[in-house]
Amino acid sequence: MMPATIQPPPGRQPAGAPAARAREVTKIYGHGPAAVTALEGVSLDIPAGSFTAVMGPSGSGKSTLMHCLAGLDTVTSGRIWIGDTEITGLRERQLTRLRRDRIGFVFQAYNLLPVLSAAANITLPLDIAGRPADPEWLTTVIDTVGLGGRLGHRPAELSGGQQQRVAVARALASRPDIVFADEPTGNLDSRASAEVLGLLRRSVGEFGQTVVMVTHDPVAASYAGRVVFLADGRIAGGLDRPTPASVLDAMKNLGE
Amino acid sequence: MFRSVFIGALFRSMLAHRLRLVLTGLAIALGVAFMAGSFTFSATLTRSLDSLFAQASTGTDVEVMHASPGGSTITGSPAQPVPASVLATVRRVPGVAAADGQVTGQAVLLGRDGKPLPGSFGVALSWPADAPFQQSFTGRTGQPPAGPGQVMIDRASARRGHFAAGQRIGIAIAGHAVPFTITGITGYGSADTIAGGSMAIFSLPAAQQLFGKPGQYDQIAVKAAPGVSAAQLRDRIASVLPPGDVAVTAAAASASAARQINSALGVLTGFFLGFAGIALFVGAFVIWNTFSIMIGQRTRELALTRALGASAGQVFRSVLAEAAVLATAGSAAGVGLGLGLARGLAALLAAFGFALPISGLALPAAELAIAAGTGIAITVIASLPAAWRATRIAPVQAMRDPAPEPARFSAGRLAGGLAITLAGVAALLAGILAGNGQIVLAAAGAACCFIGITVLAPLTVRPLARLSAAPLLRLPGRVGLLARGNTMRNPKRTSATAAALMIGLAVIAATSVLVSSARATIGQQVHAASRTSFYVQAANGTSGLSPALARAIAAQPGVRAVTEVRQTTATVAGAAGRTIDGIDPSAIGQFTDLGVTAGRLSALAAPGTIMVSAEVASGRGWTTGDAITVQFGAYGLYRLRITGIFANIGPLSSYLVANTTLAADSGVRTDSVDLIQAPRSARNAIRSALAGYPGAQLTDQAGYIASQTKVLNSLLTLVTAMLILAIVIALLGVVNTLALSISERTREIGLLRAIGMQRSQLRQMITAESVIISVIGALLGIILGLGLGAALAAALTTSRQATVTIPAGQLVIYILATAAAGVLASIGPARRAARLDTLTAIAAE
Ligand SMILES: Nc1ncnc2c1ncn2[C@@H]1O[C@H](COP(=O)(O)OP(=O)(O)OP(=O)(O)O)[C@@H](O)[C@H]1O
Ligand SMILES: [Mg+2]
Repeated sequence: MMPATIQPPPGRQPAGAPAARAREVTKIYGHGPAAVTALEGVSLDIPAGSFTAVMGPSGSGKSTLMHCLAGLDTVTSGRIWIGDTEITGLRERQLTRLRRDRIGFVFQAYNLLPVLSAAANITLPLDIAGRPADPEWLTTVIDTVGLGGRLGHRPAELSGGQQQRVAVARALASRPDIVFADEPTGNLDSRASAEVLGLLRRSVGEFGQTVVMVTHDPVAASYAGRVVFLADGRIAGGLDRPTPASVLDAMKNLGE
Repeated sequence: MFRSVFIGALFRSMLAHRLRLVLTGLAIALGVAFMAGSFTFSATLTRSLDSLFAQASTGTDVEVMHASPGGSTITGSPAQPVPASVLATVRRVPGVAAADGQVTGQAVLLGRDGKPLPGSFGVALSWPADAPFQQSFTGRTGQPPAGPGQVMIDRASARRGHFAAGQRIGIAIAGHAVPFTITGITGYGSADTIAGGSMAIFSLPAAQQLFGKPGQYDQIAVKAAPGVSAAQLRDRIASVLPPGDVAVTAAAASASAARQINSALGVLTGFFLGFAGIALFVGAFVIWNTFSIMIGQRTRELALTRALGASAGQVFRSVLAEAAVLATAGSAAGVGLGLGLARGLAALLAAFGFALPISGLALPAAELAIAAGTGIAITVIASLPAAWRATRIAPVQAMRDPAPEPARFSAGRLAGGLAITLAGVAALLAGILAGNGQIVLAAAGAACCFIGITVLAPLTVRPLARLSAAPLLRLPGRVGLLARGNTMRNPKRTSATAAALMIGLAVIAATSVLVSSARATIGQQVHAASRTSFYVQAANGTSGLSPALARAIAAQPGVRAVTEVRQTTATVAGAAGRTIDGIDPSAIGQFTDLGVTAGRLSALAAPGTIMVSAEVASGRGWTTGDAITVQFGAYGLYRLRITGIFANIGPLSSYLVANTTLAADSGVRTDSVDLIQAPRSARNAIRSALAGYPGAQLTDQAGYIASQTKVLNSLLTLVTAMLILAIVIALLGVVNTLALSISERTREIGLLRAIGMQRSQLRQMITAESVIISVIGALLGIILGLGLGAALAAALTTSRQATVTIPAGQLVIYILATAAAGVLASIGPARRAARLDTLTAIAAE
């Protein structure tokens, strides 16, 4: 259970208000005949404190959507907000600061800097920002990801699952408005995957963290509170309180 | 078939990395350019000087002079004069069409402000009476000098000082300004003046009077009658000459003068080549390191080719082929650059008034081939370790992630590195202390030292990186810490990059220790012994001060005593270039405490005697009563008896003779410095005595010490300037290493940007890495240089007064300058890193 002293990060939107919003987002790569429409008119609300899984066939635009929502990529048209801040139209510097202060990332692999210890990797976004870490929060995060003894180790000395847990801890350490995870368990076996996914779900349940996760795996998606399906760059449906079976079903229907 | 696929792949990969290719090629090209430039410049200079000497003897067939080797107008070393009676004898020899007595000396032309005109030296000549000997004075305007007070000057000086015929000009002779009227202006051969100097041409009687040679000539020029060859005439004249005088053909005389200059030039060329060698050596380090990193990065690709069936030999050859292509292109570019460099140097000389009769660059084909060949050989050899390592890549590594190799402490490395370093130090010291012949041993020793330290260096990277990164840890956003981590993650690579920088800095640091030690030693010696309050010195380019000045100073109110010190260089018991001071034995004791340990100072008043310092005496095993041979320049060879040994050099040199002896044996009759005892208040009075002596400079003790050590500072500046190229090459290596490691770390950089690192912070991080690597190089270089410099300083000076001083402030400046250079080196790589697109970088393979 969550310790009584731990409060949700301050300044968070009241539950239900969106932590991120996309309106009519279109993303086209390239020009002319070679142009690829990766996203087409996508509108989406990510409620604060929710755990959303994004699914869809390969090439359906999942990563593109995530990159656009996270301010890593620019949209061709449409608008995106993180909390109250519209990020479409922000300058590069401001986007970088926004990612640093308000967004957490977990990638499929190579999440960590090999020259830093696990602990230093966890505090890296705070250090880059020159912000002091809240030691209590940090202890909570580290306890939650369960790395106690291995904090001083370099990433090369950690297992793949441990590395991903460090990455999750890093994403949580700065108390971001929203955490984006692109196939965070893509390289892990089922046990390590379960640990990482459990961790993400606890961060939502216990700390009120907002998490968006791209995945191919119906089991992984079932950890989320809601699944959004993408196909050919469009929203193709949604599913609340998914189970592996219902996700599989929905995917079959999509394929038809 | 496989081969062609291979070569194709090779060129594709080379083209894909154009920048790296250019940087690496440049690393070798610069060294080759230095070498080729030195060769070309020296060949061009030699050719020009040969033509200059040929012009100098135009119209002359035979020269008669005193029989001492090496007398030459242009080298300016005085020769004993020939009496006028010899001219009469020569004129009576059948086959002599004309014969002319000539006097030469030193005279400095003064501008309208009374200061010497810029130029390297001032030659005084007598106007030849006979037309054949006037031929080298070309393009004359006005009249030749005909009487006292008249002078003809060279066209370059006339232009520089805005002088025309009919105007007045001051000329400093023995430091004293004498007014003359310009009667004419002349060129010299195909140039405006004589090899960058100035010319003052007086009538023969005036020259004889001005230089104290009444009824005497420095040489006699002879023109042969038609049908008589120079050799025939030489033999005829030789048969009638009094003993001690010789006749040589003009061709032989100019060839011998040219030989002297060329051997001096050879020393200069050797000096340049030494630095070119350092530059090439540093280039080899850069190539070695770059190839090692490249092979490391290509592990997967090379393993794949092995898996597909390429043999180890093919892999080896493909790496060598890349090196060979690079080497050839780099060396060819280097030769081209070298020619440009030589042309630039010639233009620079011309700009400084040293216009040579240069008709285009000389192209020494053999030497240029040597330069290019050296560049190619060094590049290929430097790439061998990487090529060999490439053959050891197993096909299975295609499937593995390249693991960074952590350099752990290894006892073998430590022992090996120490052994190589110590052997190098021993060889270096042995080479330098053995004297001239052992340059190769010294160079090999130095190279060994550097290689040994490079072997040891990976062990020092962690502590040195901690040290050099310490000030950077304050940078916001942890960039200092990240940078430090990045430089420590591959200690071998970091240390190899730093080692290239180390080389140049080690030489600079060693020189600066030697110079500061020598400076401190001189200062201490002067302070310890001298009781002199003021010094009046002959300014640069002045042949000396007239004794009349000493008398004028002595007459000033407040001046208690003045003594004249004269100076010449001589070959003493086989050791060339020794400074001999002429003193007044009865007076010098008042001005400096010689601390005579054996013999008596007063005995020096007798002709044919010399005193030597205790340092020299103990080094050579001399005692009082020994006779030593002294060759005074071109003047004569004498046996001098040691009448005393003194402990304190003070403001003097290690060899002392009486001024009377010096005048008789070397012809030096002017003072190099006047020592003065007077209260401080007498300064203005002394200064007033200096009016009319533009060649005289008044200093106190500190100023005197500064003037004595000035040449040491120039030496340090010169060495530093020469090493800038080596440092630039090492910095190219830093750029290369940074660029390669950035391309390796693309994904990491993407991650940093994704989680919120600003471009500016990323740039700072790369810059900090560069600074850390550079400072490690500086620290290694300074540690090594300090060791070498202190060892050399201690070994070279055995005197009790000698001290080894460490110029701490200067060393700190070197470290800061290297750090700044590191910032410069990082500009390109940092920009590239900052420009990387975040998304592409995250997705990078
Ligand atoms: N930088 C790019 N340039 C051009 N096209 C791109 C680029 N990035 C993605 N695309 C294209 O956009 C479409 C969506 O790609 P995206 O990476 O978002 O798919 P995805 O759903 O994440 O697929 P996967 O499940 O394979 O990761 C694809 O057709 C892809 O080829
Ligand atoms: Mg994807």
